[in-house]
Parts: sequence; C-alpha cells; structure tokens
Amino acid sequence: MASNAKDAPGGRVKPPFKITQEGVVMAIAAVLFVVFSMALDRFLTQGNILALLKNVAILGMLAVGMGFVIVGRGIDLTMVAVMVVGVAFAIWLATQGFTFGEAIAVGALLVAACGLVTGVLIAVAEVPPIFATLAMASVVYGGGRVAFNSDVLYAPGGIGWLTFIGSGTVLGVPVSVVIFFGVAALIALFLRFTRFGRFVYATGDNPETARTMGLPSRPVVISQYVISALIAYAAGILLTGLVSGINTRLYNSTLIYDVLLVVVLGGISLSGGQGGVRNVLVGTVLVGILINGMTIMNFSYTSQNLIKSVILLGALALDAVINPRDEQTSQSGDI
Amino acid sequence: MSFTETLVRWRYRFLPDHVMGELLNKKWSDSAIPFFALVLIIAIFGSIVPRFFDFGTLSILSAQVAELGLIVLGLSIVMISGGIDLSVGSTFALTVTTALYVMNVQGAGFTTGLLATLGVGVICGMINGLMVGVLRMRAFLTTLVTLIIYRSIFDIVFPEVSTDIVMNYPESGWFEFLGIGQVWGLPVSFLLMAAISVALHILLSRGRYGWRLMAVGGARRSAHNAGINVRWTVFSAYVVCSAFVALAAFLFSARIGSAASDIGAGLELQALTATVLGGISLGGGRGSVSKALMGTVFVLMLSNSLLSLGIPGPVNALLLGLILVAAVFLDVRWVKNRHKLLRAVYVSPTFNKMPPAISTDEGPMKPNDRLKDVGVIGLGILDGAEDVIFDRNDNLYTGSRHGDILRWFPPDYTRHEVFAHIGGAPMGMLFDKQGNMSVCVGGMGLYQITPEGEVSLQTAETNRSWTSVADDSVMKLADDCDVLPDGRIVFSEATVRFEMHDWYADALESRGNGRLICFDPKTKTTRTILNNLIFPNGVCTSYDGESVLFAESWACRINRYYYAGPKKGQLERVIEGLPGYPDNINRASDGTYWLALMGSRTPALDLSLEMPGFRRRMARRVSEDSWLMPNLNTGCVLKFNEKGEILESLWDLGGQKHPMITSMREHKGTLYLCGIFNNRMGTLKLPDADQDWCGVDTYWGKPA
Amino acid sequence: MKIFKKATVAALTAAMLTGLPAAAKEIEQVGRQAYLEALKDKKVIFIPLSQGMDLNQAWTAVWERHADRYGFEFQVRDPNMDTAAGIRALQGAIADQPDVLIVQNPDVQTYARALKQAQKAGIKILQINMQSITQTDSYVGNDWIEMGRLEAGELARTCLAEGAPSKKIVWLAGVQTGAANIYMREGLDQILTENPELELVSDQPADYDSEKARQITETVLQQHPDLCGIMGIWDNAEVGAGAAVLAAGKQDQVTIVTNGAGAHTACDSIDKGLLDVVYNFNAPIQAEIAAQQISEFLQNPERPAGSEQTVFFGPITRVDASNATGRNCWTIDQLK
Repeated sequence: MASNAKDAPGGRVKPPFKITQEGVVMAIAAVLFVVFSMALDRFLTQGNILALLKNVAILGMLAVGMGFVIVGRGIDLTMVAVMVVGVAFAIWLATQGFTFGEAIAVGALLVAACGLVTGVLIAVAEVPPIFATLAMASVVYGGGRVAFNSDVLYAPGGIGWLTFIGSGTVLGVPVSVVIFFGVAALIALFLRFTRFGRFVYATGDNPETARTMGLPSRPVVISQYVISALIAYAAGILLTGLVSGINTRLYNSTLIYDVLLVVVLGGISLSGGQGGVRNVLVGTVLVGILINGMTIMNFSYTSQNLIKSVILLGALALDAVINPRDEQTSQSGDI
Repeated sequence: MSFTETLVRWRYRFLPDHVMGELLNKKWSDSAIPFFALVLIIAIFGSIVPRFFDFGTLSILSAQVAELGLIVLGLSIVMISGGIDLSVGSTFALTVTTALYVMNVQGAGFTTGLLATLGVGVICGMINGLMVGVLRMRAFLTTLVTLIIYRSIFDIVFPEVSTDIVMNYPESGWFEFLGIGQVWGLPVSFLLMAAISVALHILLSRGRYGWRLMAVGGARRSAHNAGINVRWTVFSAYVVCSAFVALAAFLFSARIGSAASDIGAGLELQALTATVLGGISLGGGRGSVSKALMGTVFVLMLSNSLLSLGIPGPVNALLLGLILVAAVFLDVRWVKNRHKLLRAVYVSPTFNKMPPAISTDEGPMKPNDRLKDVGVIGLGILDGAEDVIFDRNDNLYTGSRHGDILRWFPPDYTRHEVFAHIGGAPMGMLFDKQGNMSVCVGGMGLYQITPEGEVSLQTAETNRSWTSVADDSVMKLADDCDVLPDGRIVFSEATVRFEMHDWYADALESRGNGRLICFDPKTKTTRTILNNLIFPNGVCTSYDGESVLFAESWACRINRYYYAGPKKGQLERVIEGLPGYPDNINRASDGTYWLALMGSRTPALDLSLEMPGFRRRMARRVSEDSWLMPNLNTGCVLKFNEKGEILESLWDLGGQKHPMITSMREHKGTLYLCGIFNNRMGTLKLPDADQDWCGVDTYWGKPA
Repeated sequence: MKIFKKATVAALTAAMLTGLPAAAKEIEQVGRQAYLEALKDKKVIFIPLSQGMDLNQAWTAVWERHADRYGFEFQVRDPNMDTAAGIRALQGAIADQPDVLIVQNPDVQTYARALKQAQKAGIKILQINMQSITQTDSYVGNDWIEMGRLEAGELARTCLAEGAPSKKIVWLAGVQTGAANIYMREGLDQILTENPELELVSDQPADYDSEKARQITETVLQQHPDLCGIMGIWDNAEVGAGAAVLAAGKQDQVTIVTNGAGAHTACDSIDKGLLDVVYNFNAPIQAEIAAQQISEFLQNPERPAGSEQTVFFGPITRVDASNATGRNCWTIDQLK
C-alpha cells in the first residue's frame, strides 16, 4: 500500500495529487455526516455529538496505541488482554489491602512489564509480532485469571476521580473524550517532534536498514510495546470509570479486531513506516459516525457490525484498486 | 600403516558422518521439532491423565481430530500459499448453521445437505479469494473483516433458525452414520479425514497444483515471472480452505447435531496455533499435511488433557499461550539457523591418504615451459570453456558459462556463433556415430545436440541407490563423457553431494561422492555403474573397445573400467600418485592419451587429507575463503600410454598463458587447451603428430 | 440454613428408607455409617460454563465442602465459556465414568446429544440452573418462566403506574439459545399478553457482557429517551446498562430489573444506583439442594440413570435498596 506518502515524515516531496485511503475515508465520513445531519432528527445536536465521541473514546484510545505500534511495523494483539487484566489486577489488589491509588500504580508496573516481555520477544527473540502478541495475549489473560478467579471485578466505591473519569465533564465535554484527545495529542507530538518518534518511523519503514544505520531498533521496538500496553491500561481505567467495573470476558470479544480495523481504515499500512495519529482519528470518527447514525436509525447491534465491516471491506477494496500492489515489488510473507 | 591410522581409517569408513547433513537436508527433517513435541506431550499426559490411552478416549479424540484437522489443513493450504485466513471460525459457524438447517429443518437428503454446506463454504472462500487473490488485498486484514462479516451474518441468521434446529431431527441415515458411525472402531469422520489427508499429501508434495502453491508462497515474484498465475492460485487456496472448513462443519453437525451461538468463535486462533505448532510458518512456501495434523493432535491432546485433569480454563489459556510462544520461537530460530547448522554439519571430511606423488624433479613430469608460447583463441570471449571438441569439418566447439555451446570456424578460429543454448554449465563433449553431440551439463544432466543445433535431454536421472539417505537419482554435476563403440554413453558425475560451485567443499571432504553412469540411447535407460568415486572426472574409451579410462581428481589417479571383454566389470588402477589433480582424458594421435592436470598437489593439503578431524574443524570454524583448497594455479598436460606410463608433460611455468588446464584436444597436428577459469583457449603446434588426425575418426572411422 | 436442614433430613430419610441396618454396638447416629459409606470415594464431575462467574463459584464452594466432609471426589472441568471445549470436556467426562455428572448447559441443544450418551452409559446427570432439551435425572435451578414473569411484572407495575415516563421497556437478553433466555422470554411474553399496553422496544442479546449491555442501552436511550424500564438476565451484565443510564443521568427515570446469584456485588450495584431490583436466586441454596440430589444419587446406585426425572426450583427473593444486606449479599469466603 503506497498510500499516505504526503503524511509520511521526513520531509518527502508531496505528490501533486493522490487519492489516498485516508482521503477516501475522510470523504466518506464527511458525506455520512452531512447525510445524517440532514436526514436524522437528533443527529446534529451537541449532546449526540458528545455521545458519539464518548462511545468511541475507548476504541479510539486503543487504536492510538495500536497505530503507534503498527507505524513501527508491529502489531499488538495483547492490548485488550492487557487492558482487562491490568485493570482487573489493580482492582483485585485494591481488595487485598492496597489503596486504590497504589493498586493502580502497581497495575501500571505490571502492564509495563507485560509490554516489556512482548517487546523483548519481538525485538530480541525475533518472534513475528502477530504470533508473539497472540500468544502473549493468551498468557496475560490466563495468568491474570489465575490470580483473580472472577470474570467481573468491580471498582471499589467512593473513588472520586474514577467517577469523574466515567461521568464528569470539562467545559461540557465528557472527561473520557478529553482523555482520549489528550492521549492522541501526546502520541502525535511524540511521533512528530521527538527524535524517538522519528526512530519509530525509520524502524517501521525498514528495520534492517535502521539497524544497520545504528539506530537503537531493539529499544525502540520494546518501548513501543510498553507504551501501547500503558495506553491500553489507561483505556481500561477509562472503561472502569464508565461501567464501574471490568469484565475480563472482553478478552474473548472481537474488540481487538475492531481496534485493528479502525487503525487500518484510517490508512495506516500494516507494513509500517507510514501514517500517524491523524489517520487513527479519521478512522475513529468514521466508525463513530457510522455507529451513531445506525443507532439512531434503530439498527440492531449485529446488523451494525455487519454494515460497519462491509464498509471497511469496501474501503480496503477501494484502496487495493486505487493503489494496486505490483507483483514485482511485493514481498513474500507480506501478509 | 600405524595402528592409529588404521583406527582412523576404519572410523571414517564405518561411521557415516555425511548422513547427518543429508538427514538435515531432507524436507521432512523440518518436522522433527513438532514431532518430538508431540511425543513429549503424549509421554507427559499419557502418564498423568487417567485413561489417556483407552480406546474410547482415542476414538473420541479421533473424531475431534477429524473436524479440527480439516480446518487446519485448509488453513495450512492458505498459509503455504503465503496468506492467512482468519475467517475460518466464522465460515465454520455459517456452514454449521447451513448444514443443520438443511438437514434438520428442511429434512434434506445427504447429498443435498453436503452440497449446500460446501456451497456456502465455497462462496465464503470465493469472497476471500477474490479479495486477497485477485484484488491483491492484504490477507490478514481482509480475512479479519470477513471474519466479522460472516460472524455478523451468523449472528443475524442463527437466532431465527436455532429453535427449529433444536426441535427437529435429521432424516438422513447417512448423516447419522457420518456423525456417530464407526468402522473398525474408528469414527467414520476420522477415516474420511485420513483419506482426504493422504490425497492432499500426494497433491501437495507431488502434484502440479501443490508445487504451484509452494512456489507462489515461497517466492511470489519468481512464481509470477515463471508464468504461474499467482492470482488464481491464491484464489483457489482460499476456496479450497473454505471448502475444507465446510466439510468439517458438516462432520461437526452430523456428530453434535446442534450448535451454540458461540460456535466457531476463536476457532481461527486454535487452528492458527495448530499450524504454528506443526511448524507451518507464516509467510508461505513451507508446510505439509503431516505437520498440520501433528499440530492438530498436539492442540487437541493438550486441551483435552488439561480439561480432564480439571485444570481451570484460564490456566489452559496460559499454557497454550506459553507453548505457542515457545513453538514460534523455536520455529523462528530453526528457520533462521537451519542452513547454518546444515552448513556446519554438511561438510564431513573423511580419511584419504594418498600415495606419494610421482616425482616432478626428474623424469617425464619435470616442469618445463613448452606451453609458454601457445597461440590464443577467443581471448576475452571465452568464459568457462571446460572442454573442446572438433567435428569432421574442423569446426571447434566449446562451452561457456552462460550455458551456450559456441562454434568457432576454421581456419583461424576467430569467428564464432552460438551453436546451441542449453543453460547450465556445459562440460565434457562427444560426437556419436550419427554426428550428434552429447554434452554433460553441470546441474542438468546429459544433453544431445543435433548438427542443426537442436537440443534435447538425454538423461537427467539415474537409478536411486537404496542405501543413500539423500535422493541421489538426480544428477548434480555431470562432468565428462565418452561414447562406447555400441553407442552407449559413459559419463562421470563428479559429486552427488555438492553443487558445481561448491567443488572445493567436495575436495575438502575427499570422500567417494561421485559415480560413473552409463546411458543407453537405444533403450533410453540410465544406470549407475560405479559408485563411491572420488570426484570422477575425465572419461575416455580405450582404443581396444573394452574399457573406459577415467580420472578421480581428488584421489589423483587414473582408473580403467572394463565394460566388455574377459575382464568385464573389473576396475583397475592405471596411474596412481599423480602430482596434480587429473581432469579430462582424450585420445592422442599416436594411440596414447592426453591428460590434463588442473592443478598441483600441495604438501599441506595432502597432509590434511589424512586428518579428517582437522578439516572438519576448519570447515566449521573458518570462513570458506580461508579453507585449504586444491591449488589450481599451476597445471599441465601429460601424455600416457595404455600401460599407464607417463611419456611427457607440457607446462607453463611462467603462468602467463595456460597455468590452469581442464581439458585438451588434439586435432590435425595442433593441441587445443582449455581451462574452465581461463578467458581463452590455447593452441600448441605438434610438429611430430599426424597432421590429418581427427579424433572423431578414431571412434567411427573415416567417412567414405 | 433451613433448606440445608431440610435437605439433610430428606437425605437421612432416604437413607433410612433404603433399609440399611444401623450399627448397634457404639453410639451411632442412625444411618450415618451407611451415608458415609455410600458417599465415600464416589466421583462427581462438574462441567460449568465458566468458573469465572459468581454463581459457579458459590456452587463449587458448597459442593467442595460436602466432598471434603464426606469423602467423595469432586472435579471441575472448566471449558471457560467455550462450548466446543465444553463438548470435549463432556465427552471426556463420560469416558471417565463418574457416578454423578453435573452440567451447566450453555444452551438447550448443544449438549443434548452428549447428555443422552452419558445417560446411556449409566451416568446420573444433574443439570444445574441451565437446562437442556434432554431431560435427565434431575434439574436444580431456577423456574425461569416464573423469573421472566417476575421481572416483567415488576416493570409492568412500574411502567404502567401513574406518572411513569412511558410504557416502553427493553429486554436485554443473554445468549439467545440459552435455556434461561428462552424461558424468561416466555415469561416476558406472558406478561406482555396480559398487559398489551406495555411496549417492548428492544430485544437484543448482550451475551452476558456488561460493555455490550452498556452500548445497547446507550443506543436504546438515544432512540427512546423516555424509556421506562430495562429487564435483564444477569446482574453482572446489567451493571453496564445501569452505567449507561447513570451516564445519561436517567437513573430516576429508568428502572433496571435483573436477576442474579445474590452475591454482594449485586448489592453494591444496587447501592451505587446501577441496578434497581435484583431477583436473587441464591446460588448457595441452589447448591445445597443440588448437594441433596447428589447424595441421593450416590445412595441409590442401583437406580438406573434416567429412570426418575425430577425438577427442583430454588428460591427467588426480590432484593432492592431496602433489603440489599445480610444473607441476600453473600461472599465466597462465607460459603467455604
């Protein structure tokens, strides 16, 4: 996928005009937004737009973390497992005599450790990211569930800030949305303006060359997974704030696939080195508009899923047609 | 011979070191890790799980293996083609619903139900295949999306029909039989799966389709350039995969007779785990039926055993995850280091003590400068001319590294044309009675070229020797050939263990890796006549029509093999202890033979040949360009007679014109010299020789 | 623990009726020796949906206590919410030939055939809380139709009352093919027929997942801002619905009725205002009834499997903010 050349870093020359997947998705989102605004009564209200954003805040946050990893030519399928287990572990700790604040801090350490192990597996042991994270997800989930044997864990009552995260607002905007945008902005700035961020792009673009040039590829990859794990953990805390507890069954759901799709929909190529937080936001917004519109139109949950994924498939197919892959330049094993 | 030397000699004769490398070279050695993992898990759980080996337990297991196995086989096909299909679980759910609806609710017959189920599966596969194969979308993402789409369709359809499915029973007796029937105590479904596996194994390992699939997965671009329709091959892989899944769904429906709303959820991960545990790597081109099935059995045995040990579900997930990490880690390491290991193990030098060399200080072998002033042909044009031959019209033929046979025109041999293009590296040549040329081509076999320049394969395969681990029927390095009076062609194959460019590794081994092969054009049969020769090279039929002379390069000797006459079948030493490495042998005009020595022996290498351990350590620890190699810088041409007496030798001590000689041919009073590493050919006038002598005539007589 | 006493008495009576002579020499509780012998070294296997749920933990805590005390072997084979693994676990359990098999069905059909096989193999089967279409020796659990009627009736009372925001109610189903689901739906339908003015505006499965329940509820609240009531099938999932209602600031408008095993978490949820009414089926008492059944099976090994098919419905207690305390809110540690 040769899309997003203009979004790529490194001061490349902008091509004159190129239909990118991001552009297509943005256009679809805009069209849908206009259509829904005109056709649906309650769509274009402040309350609904905020509800829309709130509904995708967790998905969006996970997608930011996932996008961050994918830019570095990785993939992190452990995110949902880390999210539920990390938070559940913290809650469990809180029932074992820790204060909730301490428990959250210990949970963060544990989550970072999970990310570290995954990163080491990928960067040092050179296990392909798909398998490493797939297996680690299973390990994290299984390991967590051995510690606390309930599926559903409830956050202790009376934690002010947790309630605030779940239902508070800042200047009329739900806190969860604020946090989502905060994390997104942080990662965007990090990727764009720090040396480390450039390293991530370089590693994603061509890991071998990056390594040969003397970039610290391994530390870069490892820290990517640590960061994505921490973002997942933050998303988990957000989720706990929203429903006042966490259901580790979420691990078995298709949430991780949804996250991946948001990232890819926005136009971040799985082959790495391309795209950025903006792509994630575009993907998130399209999914948000879709879900919200269909909700108002009274589509059932399953048919929403169906429509959503058919549109995604359409976007992928369109990209394949617009930017066809050449048999001569494609690599084996590039799935 | 000292006692220790005897010991060493016997050790290297009876402990076949080289077998290890050949075992590793085998494709099935890839399956070693999953196989041992499977054995380990059977050993562990067999000892702690009660009734593990009970027939009942195994029978239940086999029914599960049948269903999951089919899915894993399907996924393997896709993975071999270089893709991945994450939608197998959802396809399974959809096809199970179809099967149950058609069989239970519609009360359809067995065939209708099977066709309907397969039909739905194939449609799912076609969607995937069109997207991934034809539109060239990314397999991982595309099938991820179709996973959700198929699942959503299932979620919408299933609640509508689930009650009906429960309340009705299938009418087909065959369906029932498929589900719970047993033959020889084994479930019918298992036997069905076993039959399919065998067929698929043959298709994958020996069939055209399987090879194409492997080619596409292994090197997509090369496959495309080789003319394989990559897109449709990939497309077909997805269709086949989904058809397999549908079949599994049909078996499942027959066995269980109902479905839950979470059916097939997470199946893709289970199947993926099984393929990875079996050692089928992501990225394609690697995989087999046996690996897929080993992975399947492993996964099922593990989860069944953990279940029956009452181990909590999460621990199960934990263990499966850890095993997956370990398996992928091992697989990655194996793929990455296998060739290194192979490299280290493959070269296995053996004991080869040579008799002292014939003196070059005095006698006929004393170096001289007779080749110092030879004439030059094709300077800068020739590259890799190993042998040279003349036809009756004085045209000169020689090979080139580009895979061509060049024809040079008399009288001065300054003009040339490409006589024929074969590919490979043309080596020894001959003319048969009809005037057709036969040529040994390194890496390809024996080829015939008509006077018009048409190329046809004569033979590329000989009989496989039963004691060899590696399949030695294919020719790796056919080297020099000559024709017998009855038209049969005898040619040498220098080594069966190394490619042409690794000749120095064979020299380091100095084992009898080569052989003498006979091809009969009348019956088109090829037989190996002599085995275990140490780099057999030049072949020349003797004048009496009873024997062939051939050289063994790294043993520095000339042998004679009788194919007719009173000594038929016997092998005889003609010359031993040559001071250099003999190459081609050709007839001389005075009834003797010319022999090329491509290089001279050196004391260091000679000594090391008696120290196989030293050479093995060298092969493992020192980079290849620092190995001890035969010295190919100074060679010579010598003449010997039937008795093996060396008559004279021609040298180029200055090293200016012809230091390295692989072949020579006398023609009408001139000796033409070839060296495979030279950029020219040399000519030396032989004033005392018969000025009308043509080599072809000595075989077939002068034309009328 | 009235029920437990009853169960014990019933067991003792059963033991006496079988006519085993009591030992005379030492002071001996009548029938105790026989009871101990009947239970000793017997094997009971339980195949749950998942041990991650509070009700399962309550059941096993009780049964493990019985097993420890009376020396029979009790195993749990946890397929962890995966029906395919469940089928495998069931087949493995049948091969192990336990004396009693306890099954919690994921739905009415999946295990149906395997349960028949088990019965044919002479294994006595106790189905707990979730039924299969194959009826076996015993079912201990909820009267799910009554549960549906109770919950829907609760909503009918609230939403048809004067001053209710609307007559719109939502049914947050579990797994659509689940027995509990089908029967509760039947109870709901009965109430809907009895109260035709009640309007069911959404019927979607939340798959026992709080996040999915939250999303569905949020969706429905967008469509129907005047929603009156939500009924669900499991308290741990419906907290998601409660969170959505709370987030929309409609906790006073929307009544959330559900049922649950009676764990303290449900009481906490009521305290937090996430749930309004929980019909508590008290898993520990269910487990005691089941334990009575188990001991009866074990004491009557001569009775062929499936020869007598009994059904026991457990208690159902209405719990709301007024009585969300004490034994309506157990913790696992109390049961051990």
